[in-house]
Amino acid sequence: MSQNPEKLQPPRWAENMLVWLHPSETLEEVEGDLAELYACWCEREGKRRAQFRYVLGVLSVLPPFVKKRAPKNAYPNQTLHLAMLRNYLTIAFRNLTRSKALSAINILGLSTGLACCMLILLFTKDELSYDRFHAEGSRIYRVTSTLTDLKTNQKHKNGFTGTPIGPAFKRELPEIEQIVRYSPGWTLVKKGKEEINEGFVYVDKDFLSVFSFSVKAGNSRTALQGLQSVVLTEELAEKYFGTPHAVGKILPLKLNRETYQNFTVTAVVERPPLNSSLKFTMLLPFAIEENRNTERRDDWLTMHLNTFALLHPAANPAVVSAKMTTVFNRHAGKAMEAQLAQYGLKAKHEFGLQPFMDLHLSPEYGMGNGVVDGSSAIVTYVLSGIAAFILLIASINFVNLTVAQSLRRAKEVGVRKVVGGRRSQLVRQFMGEAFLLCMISFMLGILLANLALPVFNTFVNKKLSLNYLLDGYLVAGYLGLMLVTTLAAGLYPAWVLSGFTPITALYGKQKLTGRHVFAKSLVVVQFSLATLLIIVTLTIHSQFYYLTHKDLGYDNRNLVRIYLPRNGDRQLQVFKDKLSQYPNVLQVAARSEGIYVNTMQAGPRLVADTYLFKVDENFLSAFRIPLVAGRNFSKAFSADSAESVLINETFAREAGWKDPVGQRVAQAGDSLHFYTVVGVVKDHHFLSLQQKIKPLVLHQWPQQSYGELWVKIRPENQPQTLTLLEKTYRKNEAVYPYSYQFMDQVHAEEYQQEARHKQIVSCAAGLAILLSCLGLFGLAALSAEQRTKEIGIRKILGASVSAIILLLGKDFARLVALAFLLAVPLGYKAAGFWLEHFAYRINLGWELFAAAGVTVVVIALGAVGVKAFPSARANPVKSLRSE
Amino acid sequence: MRKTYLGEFEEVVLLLVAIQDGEAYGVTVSQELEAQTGRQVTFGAVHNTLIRLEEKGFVKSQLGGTTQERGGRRKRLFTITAAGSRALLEVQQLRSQLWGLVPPHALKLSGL
Repeated sequence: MSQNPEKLQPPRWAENMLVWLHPSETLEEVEGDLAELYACWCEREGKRRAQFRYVLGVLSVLPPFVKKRAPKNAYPNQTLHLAMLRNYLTIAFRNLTRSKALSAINILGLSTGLACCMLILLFTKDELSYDRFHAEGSRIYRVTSTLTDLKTNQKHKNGFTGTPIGPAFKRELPEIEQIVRYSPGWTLVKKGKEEINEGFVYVDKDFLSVFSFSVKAGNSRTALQGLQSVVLTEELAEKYFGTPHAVGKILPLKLNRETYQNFTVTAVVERPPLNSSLKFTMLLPFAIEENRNTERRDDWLTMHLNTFALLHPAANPAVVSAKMTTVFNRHAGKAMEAQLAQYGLKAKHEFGLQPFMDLHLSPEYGMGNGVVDGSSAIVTYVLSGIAAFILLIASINFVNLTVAQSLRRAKEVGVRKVVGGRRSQLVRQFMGEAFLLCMISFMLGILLANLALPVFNTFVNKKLSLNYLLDGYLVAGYLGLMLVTTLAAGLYPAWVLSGFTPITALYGKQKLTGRHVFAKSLVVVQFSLATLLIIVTLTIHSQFYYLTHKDLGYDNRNLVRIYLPRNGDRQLQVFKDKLSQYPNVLQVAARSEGIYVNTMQAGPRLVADTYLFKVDENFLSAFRIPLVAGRNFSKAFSADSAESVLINETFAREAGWKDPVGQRVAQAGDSLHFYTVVGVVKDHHFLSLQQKIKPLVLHQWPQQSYGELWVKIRPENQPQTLTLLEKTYRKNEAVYPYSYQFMDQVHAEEYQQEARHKQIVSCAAGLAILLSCLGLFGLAALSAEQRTKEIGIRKILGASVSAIILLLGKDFARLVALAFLLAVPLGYKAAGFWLEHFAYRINLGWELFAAAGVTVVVIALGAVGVKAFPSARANPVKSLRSE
Repeated sequence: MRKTYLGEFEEVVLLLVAIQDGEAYGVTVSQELEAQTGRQVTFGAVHNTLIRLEEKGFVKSQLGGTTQERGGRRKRLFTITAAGSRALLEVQQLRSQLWGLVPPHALKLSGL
C-alpha cells in the first residue's frame, strides 16, 4: 500500500453514492473491501479498467441488488420481564414519594381537570338525550309558523299554532298520520274538604300512542277519549288516592270557577323523565277545551298552543310544510292578510315542521305553553370549552413539572442506558409512569366528580347522577379521555428524558438548555387561558352589578307583589281598603298580570311593539315613577277609565309628538276606540336591561282585569307586615293560594341566567388560575433548587433577600406579562361577545383589563414568592458546604 | 429441520472460505475466485453470497481489528462453521456416490 495515493483514489462520486445508499450495517467492510480491490485492479489491469470494475462493484452492492445483513441483537429481545416491571413500579413510587408536593400538584391538577371533563361530558350527554326516548321520535314534529316582514325582511319565528289548525292539516294532508295538540292550564282539585290548585295539560286523544310515555295502568288508546276522563301520573294518583292503582276512581275538578265536575281516572302513567321537554302530572282530553271555548275552536289567527304532528315514514317534511301553508291560506289566508294590514304590515306567513328531538337545543322557535326546559347549544359549547381549558392547563402542569423534575432523574437515565437500556424501553418506562399517574388522577377524578355533582347540579339546574356513567359510550369516552391525557402529558417528557446522553447525564452536567423555550411557551399558554377567564369573569361580575344596581327609573325596594285571584277585580277594592289601614303599608296599587304587546295608532303614525298595562291611580306613586307632563289617572275624572291613557317618553318620541298631552291613540285595527293622552311618565326600565326601553301605554280599560296587587311597605317590621298581608288575603279569598314576591327579587330573577354564567365562569377562572399557579409554584421550586449554589454565592457577595426574590421572580414575571398581553385581545373579543346580548351594558374600559392583569400578576408572583422567599432566606453556608 | 440447499456458486464460495482458513473476507474471496476459477463476478455477488451463507449458518463472521490499511476500515472475516463443513462433505459424498454409478462408457472425454 505504498503507491501514489492519488492513483489509489477510486472515483469519488461512486464512493459517495456507496456511502449514501449502501445499508449502514455493512458499509464499513464493503467500503474497505472495494477500496482494497480497486488498488489491486489498478496494479494489475490499469486505472481505466479498475475504475470500471469499481463502479460495477459499487452498483452491485446498492439496493435493490444488495442483500441486507439481518441486524443482530446484542442482547436477547426483551419483552417485559417481571423483575423489570417490578423495578419500574418501585422506581415510579419512589419518585412519587420523593417529591410529595410536586406529585400532589400533578395528581390533584389532573384529577380536577378530569373531574371537570367528566361532569361536562355528563351534562352534554344529558342535553343530547332530551326527548330521545320516544319510539316514533324521529317522525314527530312541532308545527311552527314564521312571519316574514316583506319590508324589513325580519323573521318572527313562533312555535305556536291555533286550535283548528292541526286537525285541518290532518284532514287534508295524507302525509300526516296523527296530530296532537298540547295546551296547559290550571284547575282546582277537591281532596276531602281541601281544595288544591294543580296544573294539567289538555291533549288530543292520540297523545299516549304518539309519544312513548310509559302507561302503568289503563288503555293508552282509549284513555283520553271520553269527556270525563283524566290521566294522572303515579305521584299525583298517590297524592289524591294514596295509591298508584287509581284507574276507575273519581276525581272532582273545577276547571272553571263555577262548579266541580267528577272525572274518572282512565289511566296512570309514569312521571315523564327528567330529560323530557313535555312534563305533566295530569292530562285531560282536548275535546273538553274545544267544547267549552267555542270561540277559540274556530279561531285560525290566535296562536296559543303547541301542535305536534306524526308524519308518515315516507313523508318529506319540507314538502309537507309547503302543503300546510297552502291549506292554511285556503282557510284563513284572507283573514290573516286583513289582520296584518290593520297593523300596517305586509308579511309572508309560512308553516314549518321542527323535529321534535331538536326542540330542546334549538331555542329559535321558543318554548312555552307546556314545552319546558329550553336550552341552547351555546351553554354546552361554553362548558365544553372551559373543561378543555382546564384539562389543558392541568396537562401543561404535568408536562412542565415532569420535564423539570427530570434533571433529578438524569443519573437514573444514564445508568439505565449504560447497562443497555434502549431508548424505546425508557420511553415505555416513562409513558408507563405517566399512565400510572393518570390512573391515580382518574380514580381521584371520579371521586371529585362525585363530590362536586350536587354543586354542579345546582349550577346547571339539572338532576344528574353518576349512574349516568354506566353507559357504554360514556365509559368509552372517559377511557379515551384518560388515554389522550396520558399521551398528551406523558409523550413529551418521555421523549426528552430518554434523549439524555449517558455521559453528560452521569457527570451531572445535564442541562435543559433549549428545552426551556417549550416549557416557557406552555406556561404562557396556561396563563393566557387563565387571564382570559379572569377577564371574562370580571366582565360578567361588573355587568351583573350594573344590571342589579342600575337606576331603573323607579323604586323597586319594599314593593311586594301579590297575585290576585283570577277574575278577582271584585275583591280588589276590599283588599285595597283593608290593607291601606295598616300603618306599615304605604301604598296599595294594582296592575294587570303578564305582558300584552300591540301596535298602536298614534295620529298618522304606527308605534309598533308597545307594551300595555292596566294600572290604577296609585301605581305611579307606589313605583315612584315621575310624571313629565300632564296628570296621573284620578278618581276625580270619572271618564279616565274609558277615555284616558298615560304614555312614556319613548312612545311620545316614536309617535313624533312634541306636546303629547291631548293627543289621541288607538290600538291598531280598532279605529272605533280612541283614547286621549292625559299624561307622560318618565322613561323607566319596566323590562329587563337586556332590552331597550320600549313604548309604554298605561290604561284603565274596563274590559281587562287587574291581576297583581302591589303593596309598598315600610322597611321596618317587614316580617309582621308580610304576615298581616297574608292574613288579610286568606280572610278574603278562600280558594286561591297566597303567593307574594318582593319586586327586587322579581328583578333579580330576570337575571338568573346571567347569575348562572357568573357562577360557572367564576369557578372556571378560579380553578384555572389555581392550577396555573400550582404549576408555576412547582417550576419556581425546581428553579430555586437548581440555583441553590448560585443563590448562596450571591448572598455571600452581599445580595439582599429582596434582590434574590426579584432574581427568581423576574423570569416568571416576564412570562406572565407576555401571557397577559396575549390574553387581552382574546378577552376583549369574548367579553364583547357576551355583552352584545344586553341593550344596556358596561363599557369595556382599560380599568377592567388592568384589574385582570394586576390580579394575575399578583397571584402568580405570590405563588413564586412563596417558594422563593425561603430559598432567599436560607443560610448560604448550608448550600455551599457540600460539593 | 429443513434441509438447507447449497447452490453451485455458494458451494464454490464456501470452499474458498474453507481454503483460506480464517483469512477469508470480501477481497480475498473475490481474488481467489478469479484466480482459481477464472470467473469474473461483481463484488456484490460475493458479498451477497457470504451474507446468505451466514444466514444459513454455514459460515460465521466477526469484524477484524482496526488496521492502518484501507483507511482504517475494519474487515469482516469469515470462517466456516461445523454445519458448513458438513454441508460441503455431504455434497462431496453425493458427488462421489453419483460418480460411482456412472457407467464408464458414458463418459468419453476424448470424444472417440
